[in-house]
Amino acid sequence: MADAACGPSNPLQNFRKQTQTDRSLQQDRLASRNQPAQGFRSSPGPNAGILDAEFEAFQNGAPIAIPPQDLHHGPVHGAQPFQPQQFSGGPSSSAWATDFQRLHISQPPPLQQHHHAPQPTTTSWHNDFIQQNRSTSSHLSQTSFQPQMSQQYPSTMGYAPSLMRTAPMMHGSSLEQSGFSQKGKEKEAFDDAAFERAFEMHASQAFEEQAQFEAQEQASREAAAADELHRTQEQQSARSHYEASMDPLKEWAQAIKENEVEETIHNIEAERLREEPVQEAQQHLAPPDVDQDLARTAGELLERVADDQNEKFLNSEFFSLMRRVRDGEATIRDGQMLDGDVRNFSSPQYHAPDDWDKD
Amino acid sequence: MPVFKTPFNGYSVKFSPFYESRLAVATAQNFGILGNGRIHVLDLPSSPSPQISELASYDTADGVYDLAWSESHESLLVAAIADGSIKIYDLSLPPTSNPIRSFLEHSREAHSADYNPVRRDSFLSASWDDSVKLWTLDRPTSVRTFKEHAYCVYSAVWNPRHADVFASASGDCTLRVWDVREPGSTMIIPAHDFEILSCDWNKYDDCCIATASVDKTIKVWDVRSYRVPISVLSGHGYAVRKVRFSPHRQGLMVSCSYDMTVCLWDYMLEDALVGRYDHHTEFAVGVDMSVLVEGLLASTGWDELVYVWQNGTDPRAF
Amino acid sequence: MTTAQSRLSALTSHLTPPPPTGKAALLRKAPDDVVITCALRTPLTRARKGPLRDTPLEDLVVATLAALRARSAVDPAAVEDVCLGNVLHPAANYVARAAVLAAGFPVTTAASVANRWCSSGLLAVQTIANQIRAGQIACGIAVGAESMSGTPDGGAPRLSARVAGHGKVRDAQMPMGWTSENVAAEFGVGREAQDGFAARSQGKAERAKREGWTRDEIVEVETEVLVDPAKKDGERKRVVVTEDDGVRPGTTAEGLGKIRAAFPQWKPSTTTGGNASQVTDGAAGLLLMRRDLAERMGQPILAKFVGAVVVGLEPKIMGIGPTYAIPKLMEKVGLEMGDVDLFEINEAFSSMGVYCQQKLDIPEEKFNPRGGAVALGHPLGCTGARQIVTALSELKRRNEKIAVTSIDSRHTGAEHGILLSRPVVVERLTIDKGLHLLTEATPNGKKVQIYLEELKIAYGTAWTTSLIDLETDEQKKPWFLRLNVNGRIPVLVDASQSPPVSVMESSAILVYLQENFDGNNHFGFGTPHERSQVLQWLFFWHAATPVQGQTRRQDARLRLEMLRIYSVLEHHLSGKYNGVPRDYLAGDGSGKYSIADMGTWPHVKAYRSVGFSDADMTPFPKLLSWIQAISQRPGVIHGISDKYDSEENSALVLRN
Repeated sequence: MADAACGPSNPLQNFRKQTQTDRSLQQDRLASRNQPAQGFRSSPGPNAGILDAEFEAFQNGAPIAIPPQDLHHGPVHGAQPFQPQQFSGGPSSSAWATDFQRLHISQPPPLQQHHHAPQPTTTSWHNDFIQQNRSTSSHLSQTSFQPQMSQQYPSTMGYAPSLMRTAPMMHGSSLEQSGFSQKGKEKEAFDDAAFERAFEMHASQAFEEQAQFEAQEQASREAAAADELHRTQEQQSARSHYEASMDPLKEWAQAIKENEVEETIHNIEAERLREEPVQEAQQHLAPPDVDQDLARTAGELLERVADDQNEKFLNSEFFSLMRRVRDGEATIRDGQMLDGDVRNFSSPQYHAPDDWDKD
Repeated sequence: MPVFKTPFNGYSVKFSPFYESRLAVATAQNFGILGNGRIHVLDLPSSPSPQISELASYDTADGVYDLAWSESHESLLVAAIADGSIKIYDLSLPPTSNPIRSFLEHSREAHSADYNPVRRDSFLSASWDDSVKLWTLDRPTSVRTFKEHAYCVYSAVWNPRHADVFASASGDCTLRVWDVREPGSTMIIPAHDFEILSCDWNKYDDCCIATASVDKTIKVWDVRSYRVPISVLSGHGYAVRKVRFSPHRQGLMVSCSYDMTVCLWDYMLEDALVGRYDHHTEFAVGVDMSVLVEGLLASTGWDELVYVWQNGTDPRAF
Repeated sequence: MTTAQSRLSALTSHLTPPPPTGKAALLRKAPDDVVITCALRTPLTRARKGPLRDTPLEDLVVATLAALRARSAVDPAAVEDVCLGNVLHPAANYVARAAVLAAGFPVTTAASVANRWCSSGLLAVQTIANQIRAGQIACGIAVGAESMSGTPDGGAPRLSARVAGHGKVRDAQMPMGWTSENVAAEFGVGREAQDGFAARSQGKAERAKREGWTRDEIVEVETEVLVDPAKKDGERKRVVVTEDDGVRPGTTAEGLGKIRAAFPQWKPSTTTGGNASQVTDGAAGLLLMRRDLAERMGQPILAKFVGAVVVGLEPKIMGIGPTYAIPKLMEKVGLEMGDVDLFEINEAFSSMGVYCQQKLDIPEEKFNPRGGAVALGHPLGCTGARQIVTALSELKRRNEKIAVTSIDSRHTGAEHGILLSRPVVVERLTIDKGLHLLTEATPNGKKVQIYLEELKIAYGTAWTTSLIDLETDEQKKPWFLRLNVNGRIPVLVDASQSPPVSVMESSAILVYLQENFDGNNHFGFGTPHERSQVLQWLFFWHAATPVQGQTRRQDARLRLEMLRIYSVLEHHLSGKYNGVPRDYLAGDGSGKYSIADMGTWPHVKAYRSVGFSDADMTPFPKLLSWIQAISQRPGVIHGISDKYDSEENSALVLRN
């Protein structure tokens, strides 16, 4: 490599350089390049309450007994809708909700696999499923899963997400976007359809296996290795956690049903609007905000020359400014240097409540 | 010796290649941290007098970090601005017509500008966006962008003999030598273990180049055998901000540093430090040696003062 | 960060504190370091009486050079220069050139001679080291050799009147015994102190010999001795010389006290044959080269040659030179005396030995730990090199780092010091290339193996490997758990740091190597968003997959998940959603091969082992071509090769 030939550019040397320069400041500097137009921490939005609970539920693999149509409130308002799956470009909320329902039956097994049902030994996985499909009744209908839904609770947090995300593959509406072939629409459709079929079979077999496995799990727990046992126990405790938290969710679901949500959202918005002018007024009166990062950097800078007893350094204007910045007597706001020193003083400007640059 | 007080903190000073008594100063408000900037074009007094007069000045929206005089037109100045823009000023036009060009391509602070002394038709800018750009006055956009350094490029300087060769000094601790006709750098010299803030070619030996670093040393290199420097000059107490070779004597160099001093070196001597000037009371950030008057030095610093003096005399004496 | 903040930060980084000096600086590794990769010596035998008495100088030198060649297996053509340190041979220049050729080095290997009296061996090492430092050569050999049997010291020559009349010159012409008595007198070193010193030297040498510590120093020499010493042209018989013969077990100070003074004419006449250095034959040799060359050639790095100084002083108290040279050396490299683990100071005479040890305040356990010239002998030109050989062997035995050798020099009164530092040993592992990988042939191990091989191609990075046989549960042993509490492979140990750093988790290892050993970002990126992409894909893998190695491969659950993963990768590579197809996982535009790809490839490429056939993979054309492209890289081919398989490469397997 040309680089290696030009002198001792051995990585160890480079590493040495890198460890000696405090690269953290560099990283900070690099980070500053991509100043986002919007702040990273966006306001929670009107759906804050709902979304948190939904997310909670998702995390816990809990069933959310919401009729799909009520959830229009969530995504429609646009602020940070919680999208559980990634395949569909524009999911209808029904698909999404159905996924949640599907979540009930998507009980991923603990990682112990030793006592699984015997697998067909064909090398091709979709052949497996085709065979399976022949041997079992079709599982394509959602309703057939309902009875299982109520009986079984998802047991871990581990597998729920993955299955949840794969589940939408089953839905015709999302498949257009999830075609794999790039060769042309027809081919794409063909591939998609075939894939979908195969995938359905695969997934259905997976679900069935899951059911079988669940039954077996009880019997084979004793035989599990220490690691797997521990994991199973973890799942157990998660399960009981979930049960304990069921009640608040029920209440929340109830509230949704009764359309209280809309009012809540409205209230939150209104309050926020009310608050803003107050904040503005306060800004004029409050002492100027101190840029903490700047103060810290000024402090670091001063530390670097702390040992220097040179008179010029002690009397330096620059370093006394740095001291003022470090101590909060001077700062930078709104692109202005605000300094206790009268010479540099400038009056505080209007300060918008969300100053994204400072994040 | 003549002294000029600038309202803002000094960043760079350059003698005009056309007029013995003319120099330009780049300054930035609030030590260049934020605020405006200003370019001063100064004339030295013809009779002995402490007062330097200002011929023109130009205000800029952000600090001016460096400038370069055109080698082709006596009235043109190239300025490297902290907002990343490169601006061209024409002294022969009224202030309202200036700047005559403003090139905004660098995405971060532009830290240095250097005019090609051989071709005289092009100039370089070096930026904290890790790149060096090549420009001509007539084109609205850069001719080429050289992007290889892994960190801020602090300085890019043309070779005094070879029209297409330049060197760049970077915070990635390397010095790179380039030929504008080649796609990538022709040489990468890991010259220091710390950031390299300045470099300059020897005006009498086109293979000899000096680098000034945060490690407080200046190293002199022969690019033909770059494993080991010809000389390592220690003496500054803090990072060396700028280094310049003398246009008149082969081994002579001037440097300025965060230790607030300006030092003279002769790397060909056993004891290389041949002079030290302690006149600045803040970081000494800009220094230049006149091409037209042998031994004439100028320096500027964050103490808002520009000194011009003859080597061997006291800059503060009147 | 605001603009102001970033500018202030840049300024702060310019005011960085000074670079580390002292011990930390010493132990750093740079590719242009001068390192010693082989060090050995012949036995030291008594002049005129020992088995090397009839071995001419050139034969000693050839024996040393041949032994260095054999032990190091260095390509002789790589050795550019040999410097012979020798004092007494009147035509050592002829000897040097002839010996280099006779030892089988090509004509391109040059030869020269170094002579600074007793420190000639050191001067030879310095000569080669300085040439390497200056970039004049990349690899050389230093030999110190003396046949005091064959070329005895004839004393000072007659010099011209103009020169000889100078006061100091007269002093410099005096015999060494005179200087020894001067030192004894001037610094009050009495007879008992000297005998005690001498007895300790003998005792240490005796113990070293008995314990077998010197075995890795000494190479045996096959030579001949005259059957009848009087008949120079008579019959010779073959002997194999294996041991130092100057050591006298059971020596006591009292016993030494009975020996007559050697120089009754010079008061205080404390010097005797028992407490002075012996007259001896012997040779020692060292192979030196640049560190990066050593790594390329696969030479083990025994030590780094750090620096040397020279101090001249009064000829009449020659011998106390180390008391000047060593402090000068310490100051130069920024070390404290306490940082040094052992000292090899020549015992020309016990008078100066006592004085030096006291003046420098060196504790006994650090002072000539295997005895010195009093017990071993002092073949003049050899000793300077011999001290280094001994120091390296003892440092290794003690697992310590820093040694200083110093030797006074006859008549000229100049002294040297040389500093050495050794590679690091982490419990159970000897790491001399800085990086050490503990791995086994699993996908996670492969990720790191691949990256190291890629770094080797790109930068010449070197590392050593231990294979862990997971079936023996080596990775559950305490020494391993200290490196990785998780008890899993791969683990990377970076011994270029002091103390060494251990890194677990394959993705963390990839990131660590990228940040610290991939300075030109060949396999990583400089921009924050691209660096983030790398992390995203590394984390994607860890979040997406079932726990590796614990699922049965034919499991449908696993296949479902792998299917999802393949489709995610396919979407990403084909640009299905953002319209920008790419060739690699991370990086702007079409991306660049990086650790993101390395972290994913070993798992994904093994689709057959999770039950997917090639036909099953047809929906993933971009993924397949990505797999294919990467599999053709030499770094990848090396990284997954059998050399990392403990069953194939049992030599690397770490066992009890």
